[in-house]
Amino acid sequence: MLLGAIPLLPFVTFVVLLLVGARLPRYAISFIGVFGIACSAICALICASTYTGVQTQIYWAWIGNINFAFYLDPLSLFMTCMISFVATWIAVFSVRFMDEEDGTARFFGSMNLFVASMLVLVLADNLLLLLLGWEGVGLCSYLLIGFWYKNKAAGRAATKAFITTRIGDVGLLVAMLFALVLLGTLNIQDLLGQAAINWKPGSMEATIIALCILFAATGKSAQLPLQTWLPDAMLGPTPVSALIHAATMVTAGVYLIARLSGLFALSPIAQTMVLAVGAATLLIAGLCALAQNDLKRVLAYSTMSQIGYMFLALGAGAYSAAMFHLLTHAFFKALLFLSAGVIGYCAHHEYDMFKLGGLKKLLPLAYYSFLVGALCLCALPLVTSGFYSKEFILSGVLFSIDGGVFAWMSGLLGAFVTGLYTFRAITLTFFGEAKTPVVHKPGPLMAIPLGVLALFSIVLGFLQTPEDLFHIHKIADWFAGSFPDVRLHSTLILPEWSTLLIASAVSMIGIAVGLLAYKKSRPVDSVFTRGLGFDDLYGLAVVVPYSFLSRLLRRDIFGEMALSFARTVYSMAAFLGRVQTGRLTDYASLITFSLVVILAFLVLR
Amino acid sequence: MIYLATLILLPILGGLFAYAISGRSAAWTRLITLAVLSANIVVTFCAFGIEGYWDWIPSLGASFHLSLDGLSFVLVLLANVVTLVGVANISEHSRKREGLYYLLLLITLSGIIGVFMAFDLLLFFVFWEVMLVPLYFLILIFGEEQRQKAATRFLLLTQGSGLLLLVSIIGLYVATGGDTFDYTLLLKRAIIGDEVLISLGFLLAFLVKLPALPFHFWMPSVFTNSPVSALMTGILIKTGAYGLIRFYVPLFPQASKELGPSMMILGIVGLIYGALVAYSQRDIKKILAYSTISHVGLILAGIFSGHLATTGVVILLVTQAIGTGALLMLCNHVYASTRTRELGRFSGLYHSMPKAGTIALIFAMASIGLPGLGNFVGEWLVLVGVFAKDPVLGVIAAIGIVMSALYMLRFMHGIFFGEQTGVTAPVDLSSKSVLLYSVFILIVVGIGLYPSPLIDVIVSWHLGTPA
Repeated sequence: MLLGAIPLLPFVTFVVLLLVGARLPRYAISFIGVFGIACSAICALICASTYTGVQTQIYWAWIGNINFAFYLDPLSLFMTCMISFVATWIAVFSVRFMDEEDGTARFFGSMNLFVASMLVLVLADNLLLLLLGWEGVGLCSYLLIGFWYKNKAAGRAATKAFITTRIGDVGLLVAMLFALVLLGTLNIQDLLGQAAINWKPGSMEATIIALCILFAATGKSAQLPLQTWLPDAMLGPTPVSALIHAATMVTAGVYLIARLSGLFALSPIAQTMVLAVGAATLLIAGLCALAQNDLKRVLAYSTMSQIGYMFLALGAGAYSAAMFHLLTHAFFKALLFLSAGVIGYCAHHEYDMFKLGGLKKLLPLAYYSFLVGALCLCALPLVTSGFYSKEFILSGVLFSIDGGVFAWMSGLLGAFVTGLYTFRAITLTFFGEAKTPVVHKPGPLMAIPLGVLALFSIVLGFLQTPEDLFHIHKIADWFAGSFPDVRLHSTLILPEWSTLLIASAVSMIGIAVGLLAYKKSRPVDSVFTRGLGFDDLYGLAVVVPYSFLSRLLRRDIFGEMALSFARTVYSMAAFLGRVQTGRLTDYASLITFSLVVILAFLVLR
Repeated sequence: MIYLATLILLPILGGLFAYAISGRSAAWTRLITLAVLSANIVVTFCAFGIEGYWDWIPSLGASFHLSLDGLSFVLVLLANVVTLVGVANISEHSRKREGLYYLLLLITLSGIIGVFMAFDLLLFFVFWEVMLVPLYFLILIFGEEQRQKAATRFLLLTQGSGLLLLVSIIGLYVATGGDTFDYTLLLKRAIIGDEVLISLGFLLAFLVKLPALPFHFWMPSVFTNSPVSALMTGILIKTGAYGLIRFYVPLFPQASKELGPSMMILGIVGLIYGALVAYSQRDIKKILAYSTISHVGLILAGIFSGHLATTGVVILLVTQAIGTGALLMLCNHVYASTRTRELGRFSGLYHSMPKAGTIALIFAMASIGLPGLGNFVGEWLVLVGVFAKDPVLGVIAAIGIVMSALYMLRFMHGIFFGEQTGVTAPVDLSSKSVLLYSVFILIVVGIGLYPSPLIDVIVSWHLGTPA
């Protein structure tokens, strides 16, 4: 009962806001908007505290033998708590952030629908219901990126995000069709069970389905090759970027692969592809983040890069590490975005770092919360959650047979770049002289969520620490039995403490260089600023041919052809019609003539 | 039995009555029309499952054989509800010759209901022709600038193919022994002769009506040239799919097997082609017209992909008629404020029409197959059926469904996004209109989340036909 209430509550508040939102005063809208999500979070936490074991809750038969049913296990409970908890604080923050905007009902309505869809996505017991949540979050993302609908660029960004992720969704649809036809079920647990029984490791079927799933995951999680929509998505309100485009929706791809880990275990090729996608994305996105001039775009690329880490872990089979990083990242990236939101709110939505500067004194709240988030992002050793989760990933990747030294080194390189771009952003935004005046004060409704998120960004790290350091393993215990075991090398390449030291040193160097190198820098415009030209490439390879073909067919060529055929018939009829003169003599001569021709034909044959 | 006759006669009689008093009171004319339609909905529920039989021309083996089984019930109900909501929605604006308008509308509806219920091929043919004539006059008298061209294309193509249908019906009659036109009896008869050849007339008539490629060209002009008759056309074209499901596939099992694969390909080609053409249209109603042609492609492919997909097709017929109907009505509303339907000459209507924008968004999302809304259920069942028959076509169909997002978002953005321009005195939807649209929204959401009752009703029909 409680389980169903978790997604139902925000859905109900969405419906209420949709129906009567336009007539309610602003404070009532905000209250309802926060209330739905907060209640959902409370239910989720109660569920977690009373959790006894895996349970399936069937509500009704949906399509054929596919049920509308929720499945609660360590993985979905983990995601549910994270989503509803983070969303609550972001919703509280939004109350202040949106207090001068029009359309708060639309904003909170979409936020609530988003939370409901996201919770359906993670709780779904079958892939079809998962798709309902999957497309639902896509819709809300579209609505919220395009929240300022008068801005044409926001409209374009919204469309781009929707279309790009939907291209990925073809993968999910096809994977579902294959699974249904080959295994006869879409229920996730049955499907994994059937696959393990029927297919040998390395089988063709498992590989095709897993690759389709990966394609869908790259769309939602903004990984190569479908990553291009995320930076543009930053045109939405900043709390939206925090919730949807950092903490929750973009991790849906990670969740999907983790959920279907049993399938990926059957396909070494797909597993390697996940690893490759992760490694490539984390490096490319890191380099792109280094060349951005807009604070939110830095954070967007950083999100892509961090999700790349999660993919790296998934590819190496270190699923618990991926989930741990997903958790810590949700908190510290939400913190970073909300700190940026404070800047936007207080300084006229200016996010260009070269027009900001000196905000350390003007907005200490934004500075200190951003700093905490940034240190987590850069994995400052010992005190930040990012350090522990990244370390969990890196050691997992290095010691796993599916991972390897190259993947590990790309992770290290990424960690260095992370330090660079993060502290470049801090230097440009908070140090130096102030260029944009601060016109608003943030207020407690912004300070409290930032404080809570900052606190969690620190303490969550102590859920899982390396063996040589405290040796806490709450995350690994929580997920024990949920995922296929990591296949470890029998002999360790390096002792674990040395990898710990190397990783720490790399992050520290990155931070130090980042602090020192960007004191006097100028706006950049390189190929990395434009996301390595992927937009241009897709523009040339997909958008232009499609528009061209469509414009070619605009006059409906098939229809015109059929019409001209009809016209030909008509003109022939008109010609024959002229024979019909109505004079008896004409007809008589025609008959005689025809008779002669026919007779002649018969005789001469 | 009396219920079945009522379903067909009530609209005609009510229409005549409304016409008779239209000279005296326009308000009463509308009221009677609405009352007749509402009554017909009640009768539809009463008549569910009834089969009736009257002698007609016993010497030929033709009879008034009517039946309202699961398939017919769903479609008759659909026709009534969509017409009711459409009439209720336009009745705000008064027009000239209102009595004639409603009379023609109701006779068209009566013909359509007859088509959905006739279990005798000769009777079916009569209704098939009856529904076209009043619609022709509706377009001709009440259409817009190019109404003459639209009406002529419509009549010629549908009547011409109707003639072929008659030839085929007679061919089937002769080939099965020449003593009955009764559908249930014919189902059990073997066809002596070339089944494919005999079936061609049926096939062509239904393909034209769908409208499938390459017979689709009559439809965009009808859609753009007549406000409410477009809504009627939206229902009328459902008879094409109905004909294929009810008559073609069961009566000609061999021909369906032989022609099925090519029909599936034709359908998928139509799906992709329609989506491509829709993307670059400037007239907002033409976007909807080609979107319909695209969706019809999927429907055609589904009809030839087995029972499961056919169930999906029926759901699609329902949700399509409702969704496209709602979007057409919204286009009319937009046109009333902008006096143009051309994208680019106005923008940003969301600013002054948030209700219309929100409702349009819901139906746009339904149209592109968002799970949780009705169309998705149908599309999913069709996809599964097509994929099981031919995985390659299934994958292409999945891509085609995604392509619908492109033109639908263009439609939404063109009308509602951006700064508001090119509008004189925009008015948002009235509360009454919102209420009417809510009926449609409830149906679409209801089917999307809990389709089992509908699926059960539709499937009940399959039990009587061979696999």
